[in-house]
Amino acid sequence: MESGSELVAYWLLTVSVALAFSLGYYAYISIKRKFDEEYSGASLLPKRLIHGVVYMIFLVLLHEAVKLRLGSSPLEVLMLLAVAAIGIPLLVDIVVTSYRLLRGHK
Amino acid sequence: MTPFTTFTLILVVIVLLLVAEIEHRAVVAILAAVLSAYFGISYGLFKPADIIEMMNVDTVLFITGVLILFESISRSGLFDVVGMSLARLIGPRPRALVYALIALTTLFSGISSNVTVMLVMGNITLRLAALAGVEAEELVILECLQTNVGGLLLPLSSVPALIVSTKTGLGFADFLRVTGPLILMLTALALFYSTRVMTSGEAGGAAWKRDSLRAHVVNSTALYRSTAIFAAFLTAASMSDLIGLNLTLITFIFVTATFLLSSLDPDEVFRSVDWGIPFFVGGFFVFVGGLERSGVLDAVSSAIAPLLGMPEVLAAPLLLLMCALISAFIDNIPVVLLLYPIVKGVAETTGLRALPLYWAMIIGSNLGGNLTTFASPSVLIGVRFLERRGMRVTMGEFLKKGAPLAIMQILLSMIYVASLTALNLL
Repeated sequence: MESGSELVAYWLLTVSVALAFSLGYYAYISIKRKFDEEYSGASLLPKRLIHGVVYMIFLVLLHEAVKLRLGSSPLEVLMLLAVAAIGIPLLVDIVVTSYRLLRGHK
Repeated sequence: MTPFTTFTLILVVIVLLLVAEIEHRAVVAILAAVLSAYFGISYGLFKPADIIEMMNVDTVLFITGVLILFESISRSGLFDVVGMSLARLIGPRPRALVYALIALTTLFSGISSNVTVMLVMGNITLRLAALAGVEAEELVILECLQTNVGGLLLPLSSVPALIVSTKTGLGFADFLRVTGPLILMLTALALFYSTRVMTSGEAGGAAWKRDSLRAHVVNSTALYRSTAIFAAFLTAASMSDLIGLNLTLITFIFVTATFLLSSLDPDEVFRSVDWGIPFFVGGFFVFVGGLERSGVLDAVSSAIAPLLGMPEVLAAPLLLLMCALISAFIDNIPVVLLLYPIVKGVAETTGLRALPLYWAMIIGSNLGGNLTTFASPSVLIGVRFLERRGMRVTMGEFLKKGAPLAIMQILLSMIYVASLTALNLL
């Protein structure tokens, strides 16, 4: 039988993963909307790709920035989770955009 | 991550943002400065107090002062008066008028901001071209290119020239000696090119007489006083060594004199100044300082050194071409800000003379913007100016009408720089 504190930890982890998923999904939708609104027309895909790469590097820098301040701590796991939550949809968008660019879409 | 990796990532982000023009360039520079400051301080590369030194406040203030003076001289209506007076003098002779407009655009760009000159000369050109029966679209495109040629005239004529001259101490006399003859040659080439490509019909003599050709001078007191103050500023700035005063101080003495004496409205002048430029330059200086201290610039210098590891007579024109090609796609200010410390490092490690390389950088970064419609602000403004008047200039049309001249001017400049380097005149 699991102890009460372990249950709370599992519950917190589940909530965090769910939050990360929601955060990632809405971040992806919001970024995609911004791309499509700002860069309509011929240069949409190349600019979207560049923007995606820029945001990915920002996430790496964000992780490094937090790590420099907090050092290695349990909070780093949460930080990685948040970074991954935004980074994975962005990565998917970069891959999809690259594929569409290679296939000759505009 | 090591500081080197972090700053390399920041460099990649900034170059991508500048190439794609996703955000305003001043915002990109501020972002670069903020990231550099945060990581630089966190890694212990520099202290918060060092940031002011890295920002090169003196250069930023000098650029700000020059922008204010440029704006006041433009608002005084001087360019309009000179342009229209010359037109009255020449009369309805299309060829002479085209030559005069091209020459005036080049000259005005030497003493004012390229964008302002393009707007003023664009308006004058449209007015006169219709009366003289000249193809306005082609003439405005040539004027766009000449604004960047004029930007070579003095240390304060363009931001790249301003940055390099304040860093290296190149003065007015150096510019007139080195770039003066080049500007004359490039302008002669443009005039010759205009005779080959421009179509002109019969001059509308009657319309010419009916038109009063009056300049739009809002305030004649402001015109005379601003012109006198600006002329005094150019004289004082060219003799700053003799006077023994710092160029920035001289600039601000004349900024103050302009506001006190010219009767121009300071609020209007301040509103019209392109504040993005000082923010961009200041922010980028902090970023470049971070790159220097993290070792990224040393690595780039080492990578570029073999490319320039050849006699100066070849290295200088090659660098000119390289700067021109990069400036065809990115704003020339970051190109110079990034390349200056790199070129300095290369010169130190390879033993090359630095001055020919600096001149190559100034000339290449100014002329490179003429290769495309989007890299140079004055070309971009000129193309938009035509578009707003129903004359759409596509990239293809620009490449057909403007780029051949731009390529010839860059090639001529390469030969010129190589010759002066070979003769040890740089």
